[in-house]
Amino acid sequence: MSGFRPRSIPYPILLCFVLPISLPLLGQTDETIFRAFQFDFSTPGARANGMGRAFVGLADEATAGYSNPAGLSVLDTPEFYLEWRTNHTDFQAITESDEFYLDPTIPPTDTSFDLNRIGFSSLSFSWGNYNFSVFFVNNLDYRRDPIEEVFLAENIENGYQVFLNNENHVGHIRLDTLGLSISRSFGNLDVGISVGSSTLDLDFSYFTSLASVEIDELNDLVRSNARGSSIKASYVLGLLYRLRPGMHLGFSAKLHPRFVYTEMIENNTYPVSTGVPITFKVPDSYQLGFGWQPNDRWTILADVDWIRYGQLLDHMTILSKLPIKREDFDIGESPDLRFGAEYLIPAGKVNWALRGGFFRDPDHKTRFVAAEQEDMLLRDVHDTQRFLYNTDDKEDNRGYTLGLGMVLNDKIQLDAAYVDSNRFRRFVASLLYRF
Amino acid sequence: MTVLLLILLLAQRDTFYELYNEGEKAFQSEAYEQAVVDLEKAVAIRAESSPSARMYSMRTMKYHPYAYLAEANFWLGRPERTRYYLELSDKYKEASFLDDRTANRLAVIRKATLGTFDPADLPPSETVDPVEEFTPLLGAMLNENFSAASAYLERMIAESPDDQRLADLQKNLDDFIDARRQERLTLDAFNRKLTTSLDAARRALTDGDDQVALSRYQQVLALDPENQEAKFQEEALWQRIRDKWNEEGRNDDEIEKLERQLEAQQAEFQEQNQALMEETRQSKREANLAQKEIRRLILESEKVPEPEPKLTWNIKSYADRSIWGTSAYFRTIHFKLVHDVGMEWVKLYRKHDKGLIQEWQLDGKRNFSSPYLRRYQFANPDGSIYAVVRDVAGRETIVENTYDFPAGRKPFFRENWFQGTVMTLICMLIAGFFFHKKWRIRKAFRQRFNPYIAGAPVLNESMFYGRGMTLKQILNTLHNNSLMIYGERRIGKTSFLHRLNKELPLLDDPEYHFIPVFVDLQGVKEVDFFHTLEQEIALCLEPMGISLEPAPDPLDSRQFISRLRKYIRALKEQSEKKPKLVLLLDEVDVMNGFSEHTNQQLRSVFMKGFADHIVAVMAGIHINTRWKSEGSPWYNFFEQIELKPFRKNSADELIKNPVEGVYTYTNDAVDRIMEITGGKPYLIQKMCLNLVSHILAENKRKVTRQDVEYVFKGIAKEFYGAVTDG
Repeated sequence: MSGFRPRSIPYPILLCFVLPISLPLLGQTDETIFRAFQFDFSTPGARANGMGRAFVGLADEATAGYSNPAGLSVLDTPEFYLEWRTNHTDFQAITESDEFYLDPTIPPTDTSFDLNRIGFSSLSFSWGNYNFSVFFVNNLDYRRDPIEEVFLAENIENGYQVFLNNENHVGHIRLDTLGLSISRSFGNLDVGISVGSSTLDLDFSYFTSLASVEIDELNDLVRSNARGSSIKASYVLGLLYRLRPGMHLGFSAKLHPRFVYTEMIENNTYPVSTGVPITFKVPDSYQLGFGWQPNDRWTILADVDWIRYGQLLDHMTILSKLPIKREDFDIGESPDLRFGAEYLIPAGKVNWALRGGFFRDPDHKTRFVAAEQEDMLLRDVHDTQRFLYNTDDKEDNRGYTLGLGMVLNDKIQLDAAYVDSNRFRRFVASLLYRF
Repeated sequence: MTVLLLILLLAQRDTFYELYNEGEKAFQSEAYEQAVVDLEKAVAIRAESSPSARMYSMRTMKYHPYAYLAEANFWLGRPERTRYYLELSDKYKEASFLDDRTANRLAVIRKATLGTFDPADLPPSETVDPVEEFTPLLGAMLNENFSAASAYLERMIAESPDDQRLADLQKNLDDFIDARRQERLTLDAFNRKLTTSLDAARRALTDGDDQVALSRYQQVLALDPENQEAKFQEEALWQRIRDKWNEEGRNDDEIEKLERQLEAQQAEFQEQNQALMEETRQSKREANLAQKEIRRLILESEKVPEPEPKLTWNIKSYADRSIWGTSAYFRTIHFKLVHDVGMEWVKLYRKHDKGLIQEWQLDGKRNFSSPYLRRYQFANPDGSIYAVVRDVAGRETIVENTYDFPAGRKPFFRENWFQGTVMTLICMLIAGFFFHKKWRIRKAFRQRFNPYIAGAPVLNESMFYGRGMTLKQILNTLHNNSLMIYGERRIGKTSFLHRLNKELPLLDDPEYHFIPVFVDLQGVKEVDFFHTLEQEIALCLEPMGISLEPAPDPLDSRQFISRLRKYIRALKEQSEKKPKLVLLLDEVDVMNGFSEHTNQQLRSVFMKGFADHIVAVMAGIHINTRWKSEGSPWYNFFEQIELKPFRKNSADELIKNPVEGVYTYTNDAVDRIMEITGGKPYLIQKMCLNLVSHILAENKRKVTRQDVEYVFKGIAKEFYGAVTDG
């Protein structure tokens, strides 16, 4: 699955903390609607996005409430934070391969989408020895206009043909989290915990029809739709240890909920549209970060993110009648690497900051990886599945970031960041106000 | 594990900036001990000063701990540490980013502390700021660096030998130095005495001689009443002696005797040392006075600007306003006060009545941050308040604040916008009314408006004029009487009957429900008479749901009466009140041509048992002459009412009112119309009808006498025909 970014602007509420987590389209099934999605757990905050999307080892502003709540302990004045982001993501459609020749009856539909939203907002304040943050984050807001994909594929070696007709429409898929973070310092160790209420709201429909004259086993039809919402809890644990003044080591563990929603499915197993419970587990993730401020000007950060993508496959549901099983799918779990730096320029009442960074996110798409079969029929089926599902090359997503920040009178902070990579482009702007 | 957790729980990490902020606050509150503690912790975390030391996120701050540490230690009387921190401050170049005030103070402290200098090293006087001269002198004085102070003064006298104030200063400085020296001497003597007594007390205590020890400790207390050791031991020794004597069985008299003895000894000791103690106090006083005098002289000098308190106001003014106006004025008051000289008190006043708001005793503080006075109410919108600050030198300074309250709000109905809106609406209404009227008139004129009716009966209520009284009279009489309305031709009888036909159903009579039936007898043959009456009655009652089988034609009187009875019965069933059929018979002259039998039969209708439910109003021309005769079947049957021509005012109404606002008549036109028509309403309407047509043709709106004459000439024949017709 390739990740997708939420699209529209959600709640104009004060308390909002964004985890721009690019979540999978709900329940993990083998529907080809999911093949284009890939996760992308990125850090909230224009400042963090400007620094290679690394922040766990620093986490010294209001956005820390979700990225690493331990970082909230440095705040000594109440802060209000609001973030706006615009995102452009490209997907790859089915293309010809060494094994299949493609005759698109209908040209490929739009393979990109744009998203604009307020992704995050929070209000942070201190009380005694504790720091609190109330946040709202839009984890996911995905919509797609009705998409139709129709083509005829011919196997070059064996000559059999497959006719595919895909239609899907995503009304909306939203995941929002409203949460509370608490942090405290214990000597050189800062500890923080966030507890959130995540609401999943979805409305989508999907139809796929696969037909082949030569191979009867390839004839398949799946029609499904899902509509509804549910609420579950999510947690984040954060630690930040000061190795020495200006040098920190951070750790963050994010435990995400498992949703179960009902998808109305009509296929060979359910000839009549039947409600089937589909489990969707948002993968947990663990981040380790290092932050170093050698002087008052420079900040250098490095993060390693390990996301348990395998949890998606643990609950994968096979809807197709094709002879494929869960174990035939795989998803990469290599950690993401992020590096970033910031240079501060004090100028009287205004402080400026220049930021830059780069990152590498290994490929995390769900792929069909069944071993080659001896049985010819099974081999043809698997080849077809591989062709239809693995639409693009296994390629790391590499990108760079640029950022600019300004603080006026130590009260108002404006940040902007531009992120460019193989798969997406993003612009993030944020406003922070200190009371 | 528990211990570790406990340590973790209790451990609190402080950042350098938090400690620095705490230290700065303590410094500004003149809590120098605490300031030193916090600032030294801060420098232990971060040693390097910086004009933009990074806190967290993108926040930076001015970090100059050594300047504060130097001054704090200076005021705590630690010259070595002051020198140490001054050097560190120089090392980190704090002077380049200190604020002016802190920098100036640091400069004074530097000069006062680093004391050794050669006056020849001072820059030439013309380049020296006069403040630079006296400030280090004062600093040296405060630090009791007499050599430096003397050197400064010597230098200044050399430059200004004729300045008497400098001579006075020199004298005072000498006196001060002497006084301090003397003070030191007496203090030394005093301390020696004290130490001797204390040693003697301790020896006696060690030797176990409680009474002697008690006596010695009392001597110590005589010299130093606050001596803690002496206080404690005195009490303990007294208790011990009492306990011991109680054990020994000594009585209270003996204890009392010992007390008196000790008191006498103490008194003797005090007397012996009175002079010493007095001398000590005196020398201290003199030294302080000398110092005060020097300070006063220095400060009063023209070369030293008199320090003024600096007061920073933080005022929020607001008023409780509603649409009904401003009801109350409030201020939240807060201020910060800084003075180079210590302050005795500060008082806050309202200006308009010089009323005291609050006062604070400052006890020599040089910094003061007032508490927030929230929502302090002012009686009126005079916004000024002022503070009076008194310093330790007795000078009072007034600092005024003249912030205004937000503009008061008048009640909404006094607001310009409201009054303007109301006026505008009124003007618009008036203009609208005016223009509407104008428009109406123009419209009527365009449409050739001519409301007069000539010929047909007046059915339109708005065109029925002049018969109001008669109508009332009839309506009041009709309950039990049939009426006869008579008058000349074209006098309005038919119109009147039609009016009755409209008014009777609307009459809210408590007893009767009047149901009028209009019957025009013009052209009705005798044979059809009763049938006609019955038909009209049936037509009238049908909408009320009352109908009978079709009447035979012809209908004789007996049949008529029978059917009438049925109608009346049906009406009774339907109505809560008594039904009263009112036959409005027009053109009853026709009946003059009927046989007497028919007339009698009709009359008999009104004599039947249901006669209570039927009356008649008959209109005709000649009925009054013929029917009044004794031979007439109608003799004495009717009440008679004559319709006469209009009087002047009724005629006026008929002429002018229908066209009011559209056309006008001159008075002589109206008079001429009256003359011509004789007040007969038909003729009036005919004349006016033609007059309006005439003026419309002339494209004008006013009828003049000439118009009347002109029109009359045109229609005179018709007039005479109408008048004489019939």
